[in-house]
Amino acid sequence: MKIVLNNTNKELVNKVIEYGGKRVYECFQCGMCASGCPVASDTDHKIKRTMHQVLLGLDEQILDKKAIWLCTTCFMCLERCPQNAGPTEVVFALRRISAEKGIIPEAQIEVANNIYHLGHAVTVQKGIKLREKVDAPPLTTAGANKKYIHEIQKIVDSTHAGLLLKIRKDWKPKGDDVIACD
Amino acid sequence: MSLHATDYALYTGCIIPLRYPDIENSIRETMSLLGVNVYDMLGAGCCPPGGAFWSVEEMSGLVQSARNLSIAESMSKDVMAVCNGCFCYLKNSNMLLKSDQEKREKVNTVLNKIGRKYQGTISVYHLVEVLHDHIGIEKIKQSTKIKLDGAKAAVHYGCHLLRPSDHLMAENPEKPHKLDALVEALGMESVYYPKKLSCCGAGGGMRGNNPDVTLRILEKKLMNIKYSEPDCIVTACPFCFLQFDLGQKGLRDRGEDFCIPVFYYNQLLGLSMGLPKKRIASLSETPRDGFIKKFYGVD
Amino acid sequence: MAKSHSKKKKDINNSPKIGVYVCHCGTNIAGSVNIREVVDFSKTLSNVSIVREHMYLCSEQGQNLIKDDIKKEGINRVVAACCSPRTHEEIFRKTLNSANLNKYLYEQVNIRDQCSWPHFKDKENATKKAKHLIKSGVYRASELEPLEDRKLSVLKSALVIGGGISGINASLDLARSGYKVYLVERNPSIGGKMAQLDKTFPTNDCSACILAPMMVEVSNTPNIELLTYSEIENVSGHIGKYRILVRKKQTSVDWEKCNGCGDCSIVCPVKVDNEFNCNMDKRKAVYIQFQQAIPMKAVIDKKKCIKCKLCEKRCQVGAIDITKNDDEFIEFDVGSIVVTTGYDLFDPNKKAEYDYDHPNVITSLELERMMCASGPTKGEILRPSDGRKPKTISFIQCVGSRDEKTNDYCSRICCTYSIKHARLLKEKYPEIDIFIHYIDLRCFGKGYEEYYRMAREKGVKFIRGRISQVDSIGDRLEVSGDDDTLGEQISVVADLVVLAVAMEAPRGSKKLANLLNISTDKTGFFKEIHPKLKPVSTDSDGIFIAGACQGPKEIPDAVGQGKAAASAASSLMSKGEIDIEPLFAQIIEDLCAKCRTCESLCTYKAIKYTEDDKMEVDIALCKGCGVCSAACPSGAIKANHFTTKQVRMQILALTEGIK
Ligand SMILES: Cc1cc2nc3c(=O)[nH]c(=O)nc-3n(C[C@H](O)[C@H](O)[C@H](O)COP(=O)(O)OP(=O)(O)OC[C@H]3O[C@@H](n4cnc5c(N)ncnc54)[C@H](O)[C@@H]3O)c2cc1C
Ligand code: SF4
Ligand code: SF4
Ligand code: SF4
Ligand code: SF4
Repeated sequence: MKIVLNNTNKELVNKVIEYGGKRVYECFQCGMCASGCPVASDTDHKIKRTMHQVLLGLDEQILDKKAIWLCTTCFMCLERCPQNAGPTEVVFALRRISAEKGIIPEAQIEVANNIYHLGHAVTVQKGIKLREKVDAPPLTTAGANKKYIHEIQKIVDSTHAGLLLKIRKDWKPKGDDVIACD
Repeated sequence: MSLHATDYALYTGCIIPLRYPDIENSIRETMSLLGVNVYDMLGAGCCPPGGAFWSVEEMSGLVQSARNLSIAESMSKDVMAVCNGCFCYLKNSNMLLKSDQEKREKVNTVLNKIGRKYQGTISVYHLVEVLHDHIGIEKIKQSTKIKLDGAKAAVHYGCHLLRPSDHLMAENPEKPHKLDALVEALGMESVYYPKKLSCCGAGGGMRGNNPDVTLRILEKKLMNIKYSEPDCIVTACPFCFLQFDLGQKGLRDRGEDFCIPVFYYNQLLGLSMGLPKKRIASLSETPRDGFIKKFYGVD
Repeated sequence: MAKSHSKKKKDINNSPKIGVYVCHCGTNIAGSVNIREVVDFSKTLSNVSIVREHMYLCSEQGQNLIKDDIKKEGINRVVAACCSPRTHEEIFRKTLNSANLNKYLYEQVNIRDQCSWPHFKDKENATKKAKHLIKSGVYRASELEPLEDRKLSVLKSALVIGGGISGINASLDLARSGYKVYLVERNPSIGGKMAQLDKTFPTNDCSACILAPMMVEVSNTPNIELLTYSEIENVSGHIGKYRILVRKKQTSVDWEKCNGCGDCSIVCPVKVDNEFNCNMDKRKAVYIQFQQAIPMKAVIDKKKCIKCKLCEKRCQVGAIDITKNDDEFIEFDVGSIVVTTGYDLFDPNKKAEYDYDHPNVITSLELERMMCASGPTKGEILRPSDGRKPKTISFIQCVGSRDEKTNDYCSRICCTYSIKHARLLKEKYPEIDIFIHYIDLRCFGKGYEEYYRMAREKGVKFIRGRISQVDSIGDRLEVSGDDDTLGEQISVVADLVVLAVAMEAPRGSKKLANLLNISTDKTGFFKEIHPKLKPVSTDSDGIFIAGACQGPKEIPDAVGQGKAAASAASSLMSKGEIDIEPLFAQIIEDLCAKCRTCESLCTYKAIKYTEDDKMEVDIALCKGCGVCSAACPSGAIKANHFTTKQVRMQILALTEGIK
């Protein structure tokens, strides 16, 4: 499809800068980021293209296609980018912009709800059983006590994350699988 | 702030205490044998990870990290993180809050509501740094009873121990050596394999969002590891551990032949010190008994 | 004019004792010529008494090998089988000299450029050919004779052709070193293209501000005779003494009287396209080229003048006489010549797909004039069609460059000047959307990469992919292309399209090359002898080239070369005389029948019949080509160093072949 480069979203790049992708302008399309990206060959997440799309203001091309959520945040691109353009930071910024538009994948919602309700990214009950099995000392972290969980809820509530991550009061964990941790 | 190399606030995170408590045991017990005291951080929550909170709003990640850091501050101890993700995000937050007054003030307004305060008085270390830089290879060598002669290990550093290096400063990001040195201190050979520094494919929400992709990335990683025919994979991150352990099972369920034993470093260290397998290395989906029998002679 | 050189040299009357030296040139030769075989073969040749090989014969160690053999082993002829005499003959001749053996008893065989390189895939035949060539070299060496260099006097004055930044620098450096300089410029003022530029990369200083003071210095330097509005009509003579004929075009203004007030232009009723502003506005038929012109004198454009004489009446100093029609001719002699005629720009009409006919499709130089405060729009960027400010501008790179259909070379500077334009525009009008469509960005100079980065930081959009065409839609232009990174066709609807047109050899280069007897390469730019080692020398000794006339280049390089050429010319002129090789024809008077066959054949007009009934060779003109020698029915002409005997021996060697 032919892409007309006029009337694109000129604010996108400024927004990306504001949301953490401060050096996106430095990108000169060398491809170092994409060449070492672990997901590039298996997904639609093409980080060099994303950098370029930001600079061109092609927001639908990025935000509607969800590819930015396929980044494993391995920071390889950021580490090796010869211009320190911070591609991973740009991914984070784009995710933030995308979340504001209500676009957010299930796993993120699941993990956030776990943390909000249990104090941890994974379910706690299963953990307590496992601890008994291997003679581990009693749990002392947030998951051990409601008062700590309330603390976490209180501070999360004073940010926008509850809304952005679709945190629900009536939430029940889906299962004991570990979805995300880093 | 005391920079006492024998006292640390142990930040266990989520996966270790709730899915691999045997790893937690291995850390507590080996550290104690090495003369290092670790103290529980009461009420510590998720670090939190980059995949969720950081991905939607910087402040929401920052306040949770700051809460965890403030717990260690109240103990007057530096943090020892035992997970790469925890290390990366806690250290990153600590750096950010130390240098950015405006963010620090914002964060403290929020923490104030729960009676906590971030002051910027402590440092964050990774277990690998504590073992290698603070305790030292010699001491570790001396502490072991059983040498793993002839065993070959594929070391996986994991992304968030190394990168972004200008924040983490734990290792040379392109040629790390500390975990290799620690592995070799046990008498094993740390073997070369291609793309050693590449991602295991778990992070950023990938495991949850895209089970297929996560396994494909893992498979590539494992193919490279297989190239050097190691006896085991060693890592110092529970999420990487989980990815290798459960991921190999996932690949086996699809009929593929991946069954390399996976260890968290302190599990091997503990076994070499003569600690019992049941407490420190008994939870895994990918069998390790063969390795333990062969090299430690225990069932 | 030539006097003989009387240094005592070793007696060479004894029979030839030849040393053959085979060089490996690292693996350049040894990689495909079998050195062992060649060495063994050379030993079998008659008169050869020593054969040696060396990894790098031109190294000090290698040269010492030769010296030692001359001194200790009595070698009296040297054959080096190595690389090109163009670069190395002089070196080895000096080696002989320092061992007190006449330097013309040296023969060089090029087994690299002629054997190992072209036949690198065929080792066997490369080796065979090397043997053939060495044999012919050895045979010729047996017949070599000692010769003495001649001295030629050199005038301490120089001609610089072209008054751009390169020529200005060459002229000033030469004048400062004490030489008389004639600076010939075809336009009314010096300054060249740089005078038309607004700001200059990589530092963005104002072009006029850094150029004008140098132009003033030229006019204030007594040693420099400035001849503007002039062109070279004829060149004769030779290194050391060229006779130059300059045509000074008729201005109809007496420059002695003209004070540059410009009143004449005000009254002149004739409006003409103003070339200095790329024809974007008008000048008068009587005009001063531009505000900072040097000399600041009026010129009447004879083709456009309607002879109304209004200017004549107006001029308060009575400088104008429009009846003056004839060009002036000026003749002078110089010892050396520096050519700095710069470049012209590619005609974008030749790329019809970019629709240069459309008023809003302009060249970079036109944009440059618009950006200039003294330009046709007083520094404002306006669409030529309607004078409105553009919202979107597309720059199309490589127009007429890197293209087999036009010029296949890269013009080297258009990337950086487009980046300059984009940056300056963004600074002045941040709201304008700017796209640069490129194939590669070649910003190679010191500080240029940083310059490029700053353009990115200002929000200039760089799109990799060549533009296919430009179409007009309404009052705007659709630029259709490809975006390599997106992997998609793209289009930009632009208000202004700027074509980064190629730099080409200036018009009239071929003619000038013929006058000066120097070569041009296939691109039309003047050719240097060696791109790395002799970048400002031409194949005519005493004539140097500098600046964009040698190939596309930016100001820093043009200045550097201008200074290099000045230095080359002054090292030639400084002693007042030079050694010249005795490789000229010699008349054996006793045999000459004065038939004058030779005189009519010599291309260089070096042989003349003299009043006292003799044929005489002007050794400064003679190139030693040997035509006369071959043609002389009496065998009365000997071509030094290429005697009949020597050539015959070579032919004999090659026809005998090798065993
Ligand atoms: C749009 C544009 C922007 C540029 N911007 C920059 C920049 O920002 N920075 C930079 O470093 N470079 C820039 N350049 C390049 C710069 O113009 C050249 O590098 C520089 O002008 C070369 O100087 P020169 O003296 O070799 O040639 P010229 O400037 O071309 O001067 C040659 C002179 O010789 C005269 N001449 C030609 N033929 C004859 C003849 N037969 N007889 C007598 N006189 C003759 C000409 O009239 C002219 O005065 C730019 C070029 C363009 C086209
Ligand atoms: S590595 Fe950096 S400069 Fe290169 S394409 Fe990626 S982001 Fe751009
Ligand atoms: S951080 Fe994301 S975009 Fe960058 S290399 Fe890793 S997976 Fe790819
Ligand atoms: S010719 Fe006369 S009127 Fe014209 S500029 Fe010269 S002095 Fe002035
Ligand atoms: S300098 Fe740039 S625009 Fe000019 S020809 Fe070379 S690549 Fe093309």
